[in-house]
Amino acid sequence: MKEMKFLRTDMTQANEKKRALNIIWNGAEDYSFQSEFAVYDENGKAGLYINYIIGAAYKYYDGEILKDFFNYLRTDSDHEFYEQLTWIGLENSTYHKGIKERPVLKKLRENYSKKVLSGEITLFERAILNEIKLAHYKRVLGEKPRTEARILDILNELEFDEHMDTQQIIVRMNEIIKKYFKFRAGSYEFQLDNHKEKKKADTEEFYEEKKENAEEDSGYSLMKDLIVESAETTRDFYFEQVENKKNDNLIIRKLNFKKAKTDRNYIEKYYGVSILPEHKISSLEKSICVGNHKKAQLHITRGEFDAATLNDVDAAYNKKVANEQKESNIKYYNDNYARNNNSIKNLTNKIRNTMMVNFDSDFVRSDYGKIDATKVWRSIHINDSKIFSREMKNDIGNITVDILLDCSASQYERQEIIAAQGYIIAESLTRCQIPVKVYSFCSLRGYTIINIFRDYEETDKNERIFSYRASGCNRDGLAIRTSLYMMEKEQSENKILIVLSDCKPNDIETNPGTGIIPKQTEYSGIRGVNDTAYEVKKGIMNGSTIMCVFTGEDEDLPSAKKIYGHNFVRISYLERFADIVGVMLQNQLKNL
Amino acid sequence: MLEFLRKEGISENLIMEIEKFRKFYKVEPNLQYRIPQPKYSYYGRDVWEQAITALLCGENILLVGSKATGKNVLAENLALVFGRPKWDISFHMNTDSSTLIGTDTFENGQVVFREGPIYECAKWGGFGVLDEINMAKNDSMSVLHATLDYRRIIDVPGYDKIALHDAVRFIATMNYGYAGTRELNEALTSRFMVINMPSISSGNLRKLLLKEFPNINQEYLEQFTGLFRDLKLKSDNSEISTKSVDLRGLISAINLMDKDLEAKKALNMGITNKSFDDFERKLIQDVIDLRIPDKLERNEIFKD
Repeated sequence: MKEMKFLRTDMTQANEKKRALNIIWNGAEDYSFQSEFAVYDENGKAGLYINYIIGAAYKYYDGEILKDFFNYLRTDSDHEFYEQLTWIGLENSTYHKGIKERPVLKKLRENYSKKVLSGEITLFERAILNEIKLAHYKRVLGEKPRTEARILDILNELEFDEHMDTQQIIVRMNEIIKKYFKFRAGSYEFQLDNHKEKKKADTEEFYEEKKENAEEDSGYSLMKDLIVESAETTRDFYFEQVENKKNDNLIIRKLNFKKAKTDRNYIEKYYGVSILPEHKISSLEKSICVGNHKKAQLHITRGEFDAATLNDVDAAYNKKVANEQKESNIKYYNDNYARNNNSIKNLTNKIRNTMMVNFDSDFVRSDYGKIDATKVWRSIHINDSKIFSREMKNDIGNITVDILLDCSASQYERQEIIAAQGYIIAESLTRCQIPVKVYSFCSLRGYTIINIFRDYEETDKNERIFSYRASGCNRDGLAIRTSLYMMEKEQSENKILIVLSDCKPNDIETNPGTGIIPKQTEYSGIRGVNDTAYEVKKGIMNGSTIMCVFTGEDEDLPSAKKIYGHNFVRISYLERFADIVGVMLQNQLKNL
Repeated sequence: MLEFLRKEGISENLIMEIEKFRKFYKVEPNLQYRIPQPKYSYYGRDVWEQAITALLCGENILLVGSKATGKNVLAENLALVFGRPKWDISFHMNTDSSTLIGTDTFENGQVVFREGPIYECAKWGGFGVLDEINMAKNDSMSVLHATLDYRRIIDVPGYDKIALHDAVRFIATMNYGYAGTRELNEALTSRFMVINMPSISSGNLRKLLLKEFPNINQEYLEQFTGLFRDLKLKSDNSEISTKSVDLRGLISAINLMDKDLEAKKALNMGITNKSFDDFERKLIQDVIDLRIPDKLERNEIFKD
């Protein structure tokens, strides 16, 4: 419960932020405009009038020049003061330009002025700014401000005329600053540089320290900052440079697993305790981990840690990292809240629509109902009373949907996106009252870990999907086999499996001593793809519907085609996510 | 009506062709009542020219557009311009060949054929408006294939085969992605020329509102037009859904204002409340607040 509340309050804040942006965009008439300013009142509510002015200023004036000017102001440590001052002037000129298009602004401005004068709008620390502001809004209301002459002088120059253009405004603003204030250009830069240098020194130190530590095979806390997503440090690193990524973030993937007796314990520390007792897991492994996956093992968890594991330092750290990723996922979702919310709505509509259209009714001949004129003669001549037709509603049949999220380290760059996509699909299906189960899979030390976020009946647990976190390798074939095995136990007539994956099966176990990869355990490249494709075909033959939301790079498209045939979609624009997934689901539902 | 076309800037050539068409194809006196007298005029020169040219060349047209783009208004206007009787056929999930072509019926103790709207339209040379064509099941519409393509015939098994009157044209409308709609299959789509209906431009909306409310103040004419544009822009950028971008709702709301209801209350009913999402309503409310003041009374909006 606590968890959900956190999400909700966060969302109201995000809502107000979104609202402020929408007002600004409305004023700017440009939805690509990224405003540096947005105004909220004491309760965190977005202000209508002043946010509109911010947007409209962008419309009437040259946004680039204004931005440069504000950037220039920022070189002074007192930049906030000057920004505020500039906005008083811009408010005046923008209002006079805007009033011709929107007469309503007159009343809105008066209301806003009253709020400022009555102290409802928070004022700033600097007395002089407040004086100017109060004087300005008193004038708006037609009152005579009683203040020193100097303030009025400043204000007179500051209340820009509506006929001035951007250049003129900036020239005037510079004059004002020069005449009345002491602008220290560069003072801020100096401070900033100092700060930066200090930081740089820190980092260098850190790198050196890191190198030493890596050889000593230790410490998680250091690894965290390097974006290393690996369960443990080893001698054997595998660097994958992600293309088109400015920072050249290194994903360091561990390929070399040390076999330990306490493997299961180790996995539990990392992913949470198993939900099945040891003997059940063994029997599960006996029936599933055969053939290509002979030596693999399974670990099914809900990402929860018990008291024993929590006391462990590693487990506590893992939990912390998991929480951080969760917050990052939620933040990403909230940052694009309106778009995501729209996606959910669209997808929900699409699914509902498909169910409505494709599971419509049949008409049967009956002795009551709507009269069928073409059959009337039968009653008269051959005494057949079935001359009516009656509507028979078709049953949808029960559907269950399983969503399988690939959470291997190769998805590291897109964790937030995948969590959001998974949430959107799950939430849309939930709103259509379709039971849905969401879980992720990855592999570590020969274990394939299935982390269940939400089971069919847990309709209020979709938020748990934000716990998604990428790590380890992926044994797609085994994961799909396990999903299908779990789905088989369900009673529903139509079972759908949606896999969010980059279609890059990769689970290699090297021999720590020699670095040689034993043939029978190699699971990557063509071998992995073939095996996964085989599992998918087997599932389809058994009557399940399997489809894929492809999350990977161009180079893996052929693999996706090979594995899922036509039943996969690739999302190139997140805005189109709902449409594309909707069409795919529609097609599948139609064929049920 | 031809005067209206001239005012809209339709080329004189097309208007001449229309006149020829009207002279050549006469309408039976008993069908005069079927020639529509539309309430609204369609504004938009490009669409007019596309539609007129296609119809003159004997094509059937399919008008695709979201709600309030004027699909049915245009269809009515076209029937009037060409002076043809109009048959309206609303498609729904259970539309089948018997509702379209006709069905057996029982009259005076005998089974006879009752002609359906498509059949009548074909016989009398009318304009058939196939409204929301994508609501029907595709397979039930296959009976129309021979009617809509170059064969121009209707063959009713066990009854008769007729050729279509030369003046017959079909105008289908559809709203892609509406609740209850489905994909139109290719075979059917290929029998139409497709016109994508743009949503109304600000200039045309101004004309439309002015025609509906001749007594409206210039100031608020601008504000209502601007309001619709603001909402449209917001929905085009996916910040809100299309539910509140509702031209019918706007016109109805102004109508309520004319009857003395306070402007914001009227707009709530006509526009804001069309969305059932709290947050979305807030965004819509902001857009309205930036156009329409509180407690706006009738005498400020209308001249008389």
